[in-house]
Amino acid sequence: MTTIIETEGLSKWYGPVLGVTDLRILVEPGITGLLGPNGAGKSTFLKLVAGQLKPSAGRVSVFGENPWTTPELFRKIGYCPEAQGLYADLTARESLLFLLRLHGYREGEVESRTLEALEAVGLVDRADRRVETYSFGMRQRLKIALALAHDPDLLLFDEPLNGVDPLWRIRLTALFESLASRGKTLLVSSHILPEVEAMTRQILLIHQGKVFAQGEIPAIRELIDTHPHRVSLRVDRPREMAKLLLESSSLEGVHFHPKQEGLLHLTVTNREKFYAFLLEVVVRNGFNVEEMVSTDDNLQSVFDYLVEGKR
Amino acid sequence: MEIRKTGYIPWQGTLRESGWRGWPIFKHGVATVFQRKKAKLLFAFASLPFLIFAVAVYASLRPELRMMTRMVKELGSDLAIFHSFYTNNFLLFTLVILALFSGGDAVALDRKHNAFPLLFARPLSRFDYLTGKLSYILFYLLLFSLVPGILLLTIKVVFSGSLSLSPRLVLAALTYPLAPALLFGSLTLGFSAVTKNEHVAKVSIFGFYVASDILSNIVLPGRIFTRSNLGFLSLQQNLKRFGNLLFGFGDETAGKGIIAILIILFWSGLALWITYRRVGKEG
Repeated sequence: MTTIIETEGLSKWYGPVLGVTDLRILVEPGITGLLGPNGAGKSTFLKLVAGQLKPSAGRVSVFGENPWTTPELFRKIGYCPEAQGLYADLTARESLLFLLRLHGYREGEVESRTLEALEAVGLVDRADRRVETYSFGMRQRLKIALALAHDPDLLLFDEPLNGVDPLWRIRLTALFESLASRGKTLLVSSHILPEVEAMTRQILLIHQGKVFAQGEIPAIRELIDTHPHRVSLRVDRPREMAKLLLESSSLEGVHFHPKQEGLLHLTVTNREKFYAFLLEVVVRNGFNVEEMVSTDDNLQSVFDYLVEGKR
Repeated sequence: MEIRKTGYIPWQGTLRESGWRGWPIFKHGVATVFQRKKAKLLFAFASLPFLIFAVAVYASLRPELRMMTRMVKELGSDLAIFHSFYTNNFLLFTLVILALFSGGDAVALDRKHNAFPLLFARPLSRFDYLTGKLSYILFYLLLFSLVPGILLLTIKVVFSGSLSLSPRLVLAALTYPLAPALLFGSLTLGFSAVTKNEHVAKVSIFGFYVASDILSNIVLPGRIFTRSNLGFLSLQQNLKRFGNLLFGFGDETAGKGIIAILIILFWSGLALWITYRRVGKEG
């Protein structure tokens, strides 16, 4: 697997204020969700990768090059910053034309790429209106268009779905997925977890300027041994099932749902062992399992477990 | 098959080097300034010195109008006409107005709109940005100083029917306009880079030009400075002294002309350095 972004001991301080510290990160192709609470250091990390900030210590390499000193690299990088940065008195089309010309394309190519980018974010019919007349969500979409208009291999999005309406959130998520399926690398920052969870299982969690976790959500969850797994089970004979399951050494506790008949809430220490035991119990005693859900095997739970007590 | 299993095929080509990357900024700047309200009015105003001196050049070449040129000291010779054209207060004032009109918002607007992250996420260095911005301000300044100078030379050649021009005249006429253009262009960028408010930038540029002149005119007889030395404080006086040096006019020594151009270069360099430090990445 090719590494697109690599950092080694990457740190950034704003005077006495810590931005990020000692980041060792590898980012591979596909979508990586960059997560963290507000002020965690997500934007700082993205700015460092986008060559907008000079590291205080350590190094960052993108496609093997230093983004701070290599402007040519931006032919392969698309950056969508969190700040607006758009000229209010230009139209969307003019903004795209101007910024694409900075890439050195010929005029015909500038125009065709502009049109493609406007189509991708649904702004073709409003392309000739001044940006100052745009809603916040439309400006966000225009920024996304500006980032992907030159068809870069690496896309860095800082809170791209902020202020975007629900319909366009879905469309943009699909757009990101299609870009990833074409071999692009996307690093998408957000503090809204369902947003990230909808587009990828690969996350990079930053908190207090440090990397808390990196990898696929279930794999990270598996590593969190300080919190037992929570499993919900709906069966036809809940009391009998509970009695049998308590024989498992991997089961820490069983609770009956107070209102829903047949629903058990289980606390499990070793999920793999427990599932093997459960299967045996079900087969041997002929239980009818209607539903089984791992209730904390999601991004929100992983996030909560990792940052709890450190807020 | 998902991308993680497919594997990414890295781009193997070499990074394409185009020409000067500030070119789109130059083109955009020239077009934007031209489309501004009152641009045509200002351009007409800025053309007045050329029109007046075109008549003067023509008059100096017509025997029946020689009497007129003898009455006006500034029309006594070709060098005098061109010296007078380039160093007259009206033209220098017009160039200041043109500089703040075309470039007062050059960097201030980018800072106001927080456009640097978007701009510098392109294959654009700070040097490209700076030269791109400076170039379109210079374009307008030279359009109303160097270009009229060349046109005046052309008028002289056409109406005299002779190509024999003094080398000093040609050299001075082509070189001198670069000094006010560089000075006013770089100062404009410098002031534009230290504020997010374009109006503050414009007032500062104008104020600096006027204040430097007022300061130099404060006469303190018998004190540390003589009036002559105080002239170096004035942007206008320095430009005139440099003009005197190039065209061979005035009663000043060549040393003063050289000091004047060094001061012009110092102010220009300082302004460009400040601009370079204030623009671009966050550092």
